[in-house]
Amino acid sequence: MPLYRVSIDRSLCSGFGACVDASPDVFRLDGSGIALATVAETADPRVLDAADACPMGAIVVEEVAAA
Amino acid sequence: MTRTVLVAGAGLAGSRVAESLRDRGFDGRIVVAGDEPHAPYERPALSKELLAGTRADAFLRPESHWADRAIELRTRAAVADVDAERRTATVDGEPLAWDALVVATGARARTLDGPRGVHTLRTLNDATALRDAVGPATRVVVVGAGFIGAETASTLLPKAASVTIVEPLAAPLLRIVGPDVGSILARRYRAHGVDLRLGRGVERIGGGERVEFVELDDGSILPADVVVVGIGAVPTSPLGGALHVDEHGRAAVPGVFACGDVAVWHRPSLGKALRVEHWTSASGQARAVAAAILGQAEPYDEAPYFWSDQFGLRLQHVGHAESWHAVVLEGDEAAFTARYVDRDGHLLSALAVNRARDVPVLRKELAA
Repeated sequence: MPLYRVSIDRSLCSGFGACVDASPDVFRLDGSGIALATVAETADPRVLDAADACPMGAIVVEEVAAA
Repeated sequence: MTRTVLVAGAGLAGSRVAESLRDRGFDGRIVVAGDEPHAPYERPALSKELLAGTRADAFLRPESHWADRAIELRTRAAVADVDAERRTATVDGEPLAWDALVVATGARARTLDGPRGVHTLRTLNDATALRDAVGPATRVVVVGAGFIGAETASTLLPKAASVTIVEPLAAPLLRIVGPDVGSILARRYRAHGVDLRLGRGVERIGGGERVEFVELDDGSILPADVVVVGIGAVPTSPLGGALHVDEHGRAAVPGVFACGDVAVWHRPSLGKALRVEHWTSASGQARAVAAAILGQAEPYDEAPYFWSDQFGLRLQHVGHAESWHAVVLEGDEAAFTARYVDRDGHLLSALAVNRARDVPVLRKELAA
């Protein structure tokens, strides 16, 4: 099973929240409404949808070798 | 059985259909044809980072991305001669038989007649041409205080000698934000140094070989070296203009789909069909179309959303309203949220200005 490394450019994030809708186990919005990844790596393929849904292109998902 | 999908248009919507088909396991042929000389790029950056010169390009994906996914990307290649009965078309003049046709050709900018120096801002080439045309001595006149006009003015202000905006309505972005919020924005533009001429139309753009002035309908003359026309866009497609589609992106003719700026998309939640030119709609509709091509049902009916960066403000708008009963403002002029409500207080649309944390809450309220 592939593993995905998730990073967010928080300077780009607009707080739209589509990432939380797409992948609620991985993303949340902090107190100022900016997205956070709650884990660095995940097997949840929905993070790819989250990256595609981000209007700011703030989310980068890289596939890394499975552990 | 769908074996060949022809996507007319290589913008966000068209390219996302192709990607989404592959993500869903479609292994047939995918041809994405666009008439521009570029691989798919991000349009929102054009009036922002690209025009500012802080970003050199705006491509959506690395160059190898398309071939890696067996997506045949054809640039400088218009789709024409569509025969929806026989399911044929031409791509750059060569015949191609298709099983599914996706119309994602977007829109072209409306413009005004004038000598050289009249620009629009719709394509990557438009953005680079405008960027290169403006220097410290350039007097810029922007026609239209819509989103393109306002963002362009904001981006060019620090680079140009002067920026004037001419808008026939009484406030910037009036139809979307209303007079009260429009007045707040007008004050902001002026405080930043824009010469904002409201309630004025353009009589003509004059000059010799190049633009020299813009004459307004009250007879006043604005000296100008560059004119940027931001008065909207007209949907364009190989089938004529806009296409009416259902919430899956299906046109009335079987096998034909549409998404993005060209699509008049049925919105069950609003009880009407709506054509918008928003990034999130293009992206979401593309997924619905890819699903529909494969016989899956993933209707798209999310509240319209767009954002705009201008004069130190980030505007984020959710929902859709052509009229409203009242506007409820919360915050101050530097950071506020405007709620556009009906007679019963139900939210129709909302504008968050430098208040990003309100946006997910407003989206949920609109979806409820």
